[in-house]
Amino acid sequence: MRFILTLWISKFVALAVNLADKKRGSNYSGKIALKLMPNFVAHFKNIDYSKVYFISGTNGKSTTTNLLHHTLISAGRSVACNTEGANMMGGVATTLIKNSSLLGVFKKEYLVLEIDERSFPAIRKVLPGRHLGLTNLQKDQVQRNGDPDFIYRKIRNAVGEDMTLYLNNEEPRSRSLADSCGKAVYFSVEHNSKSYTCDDFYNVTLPCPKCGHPISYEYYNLKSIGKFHCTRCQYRSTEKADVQITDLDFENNAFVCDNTRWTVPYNNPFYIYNFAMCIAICRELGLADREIQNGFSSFTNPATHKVLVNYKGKEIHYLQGKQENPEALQSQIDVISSDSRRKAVFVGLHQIKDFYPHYSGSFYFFDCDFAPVVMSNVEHYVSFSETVANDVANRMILAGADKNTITIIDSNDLDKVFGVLDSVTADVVYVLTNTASTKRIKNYLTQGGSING
Amino acid sequence: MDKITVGWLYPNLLNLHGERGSVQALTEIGKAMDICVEIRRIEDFDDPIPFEELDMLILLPGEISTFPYLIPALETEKLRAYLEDGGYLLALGTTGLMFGNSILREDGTVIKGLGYLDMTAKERRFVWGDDLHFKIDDMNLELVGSQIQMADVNVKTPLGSTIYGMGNNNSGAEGARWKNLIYTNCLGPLLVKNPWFAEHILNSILQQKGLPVRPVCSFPIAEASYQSTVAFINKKPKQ
Repeated sequence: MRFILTLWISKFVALAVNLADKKRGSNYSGKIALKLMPNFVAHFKNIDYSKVYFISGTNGKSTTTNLLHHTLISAGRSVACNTEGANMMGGVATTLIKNSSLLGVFKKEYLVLEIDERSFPAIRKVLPGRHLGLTNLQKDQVQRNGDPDFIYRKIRNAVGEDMTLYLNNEEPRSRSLADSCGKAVYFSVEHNSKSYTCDDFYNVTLPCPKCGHPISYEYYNLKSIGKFHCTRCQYRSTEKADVQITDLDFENNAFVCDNTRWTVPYNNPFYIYNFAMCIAICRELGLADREIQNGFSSFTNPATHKVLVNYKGKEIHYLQGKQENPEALQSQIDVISSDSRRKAVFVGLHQIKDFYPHYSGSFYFFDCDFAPVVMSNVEHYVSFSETVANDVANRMILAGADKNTITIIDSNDLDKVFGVLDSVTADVVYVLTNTASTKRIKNYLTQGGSING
Repeated sequence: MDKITVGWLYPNLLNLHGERGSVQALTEIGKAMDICVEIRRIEDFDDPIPFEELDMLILLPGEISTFPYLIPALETEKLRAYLEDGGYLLALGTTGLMFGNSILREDGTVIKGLGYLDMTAKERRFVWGDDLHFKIDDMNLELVGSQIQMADVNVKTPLGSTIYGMGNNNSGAEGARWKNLIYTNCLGPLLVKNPWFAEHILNSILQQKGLPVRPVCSFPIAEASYQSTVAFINKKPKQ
C-alpha cells in the first residue's frame, strides 16, 4: 500500500513538473519517491530482469544508451529508457514511474538504463538486471571517485554469476571483470588508420588487474584503449572478439563486422566502440544485423560537443571537454592535432565546481598528451581562466610549446580573451573549454558570426 | 655540467593525477639551475634499483590495490641503507602510505607498510578532494596544490602544517618526513606548481655531493599560479 501511495504521489509530481516546464526535473519525481520510500524501485511488478540492460563506464555511456534505445525502438521493440540522462537512483525511479501503470506494473518489455558507475551497486541491489555493458573504466571525477580502482571494486562487488557483461576487449581494467560474471561478450575495434603508438618517455600505462605488473600496448585506438598485453602474465586482449570491427573506412563512415559492411552516422573512434557494444548487445537480444544497421542509419546523437562558428572572419571550432576526465579531454585534443592547418589554440579550463568544496585542480590536463597539438602547426596559444590559466600554460610548455607563443589571461573576460584574435594571422582557431563555459562562449562568439554546425 | 640522477619508480603502476608532470618538471627546473637532471625509469617492481647510481627516487600517486605488490619489492636492505644514508625519496599522494606502518582498508584488511614513517592510515569510505596550502618551516617554503585524499593519516612527524586544506586528517598536519624520505598529499603536479620545492631538493642533493649550490631561480608562471591559487582559496567560504 505504501508503494502504491508513493507511486501515485510521484506520478502526480511528474505530471505537475511536465506541465510547469518540460525541460526541468528529469528525475524530480523519482527523487520524491525515494524520499518517501528508499527501496521504491524494488517494488515494481512485471520487470523481466533478463531484459534489463545497464550501460555504464567512464566515457561513452550516454551515447551508447541512446544508440541502443534508438536501435531497439526502430526494430519495433517495446523499451523504456532513461534517455534524459538522469543516471542515478532518482533517474531510474523516474523512468519506472513514467513507464508503469497506476498499480506499479511495468508496461514495456525491455528496460535500458544508463547507470552512473558509483550508483551501480545500489541500483543492482533493488533492480537485479542481468546485463551490463561497460564502455571502459578510466580516470574521471577524481574528487568523487579518487582513482579508477575505487570504481572498479564497486562494480566488481556488485556483478554476479547471473550476469552477462559486454566488455571492451581493448580496455584492460574493465575487461578483467569477465572473471566476476557468468558470461562475457567482448567487442573490439581492429587497428585502423587512426591507431597510433606512443614512445614518449613520459607515457604511462596501468598495472595489470590480474598480477600487478605493467600493461603494455602494441597500439592505441584511443587513449588507454588498444591492443594490450601484460608484460608478465598471460592477460591480453583477445585476437578474435565476439564482435570484431575491422576495415574502418573513416572517409565513408563505414566498417566491416563479420564480413558485412556497415555504415554509421559518426566515425570518431570513440563512436566506433559504442557501435561495437551496441551490436554485441543487440545480437544477444536476437536482432538481425539488418535491423541493427537500420537503427544506426537513422541515429542522431542529441549531445554534440563541437560547433563551428564564423567570428571576425575566422573559422572557429568550439570544442567542449570534460574536466577531470583525461580520456574525454584527449579526444578533443586529438581533434585539434589532426588538423594540420596553421591555427591558434585557445584553452579555457577552470576550477572544478561539481560540488562543495570547489577546487582548483587541473592536474588531469597533465594526464593528456598535448605534444601532438604542439607539432600540428600552431601559431599562437591562449590559456585563459581566472584560476588555472598559468597551470595550463605550464602544461603546454612541458609539451614543447614555445613560451613566447602563449598568451596567459588570468581572467574569464571574453573581450580580453578573444581580443587576442586581432593579432592572430591564422584563419583557423580552436577553442577548447569545459562544459560549464559552453553556453557563455557560444553566445559570445555567435554575437559576431553564425553557427554552422 | 653537474648531474643529478633520478630514479622514477614504477611509472606505469603509480600513474595517477597527472603527476608525471612533476618528473618532466624536474628536468626543466634542472635546466633553469644549470644542472643536468637525468631521469631513469624503473619499470617493474622486480627490476633491480641501481641505488648506487641514483641521487633521488620519485614515486607518483598510485592505487592502494598495487601496494601489496610493491611493498615486498621495496622491503630491501639496499633501500634502507639508501635512506639511512640521507638519500632523497619523494612519495606523492596515496603512494606515501606504503612507507608508514599500516593501511587499514575499507574492507577491514590491513596492509603492513614499510615502517619508515611513523604513521598509520585508514582508507576513507568517501574520497575527499580539495585545494591544499601548507608550509614547511624547516625549508622556509609554502606549497600549494590539490589533494585527493583516499585515507585519513595519523603521523608523528609531519612534513609541514596546513594553511588551508585537510592535509593528513584535518589536524593541521601535512605529509610526513623521516630523514630525506618525504611524503606529501599535495598534487598539482606538485613540482610544476611548486618548482621552488624541487629547487630546494636539487640544491640539497648538490650539497650532499659536494657540488656548488645554485642561486635561487625565478619561475614567473609558477609564481603567478601560486598567487591565483591562493587568491582562489582565500575566496572560499570559511570551513
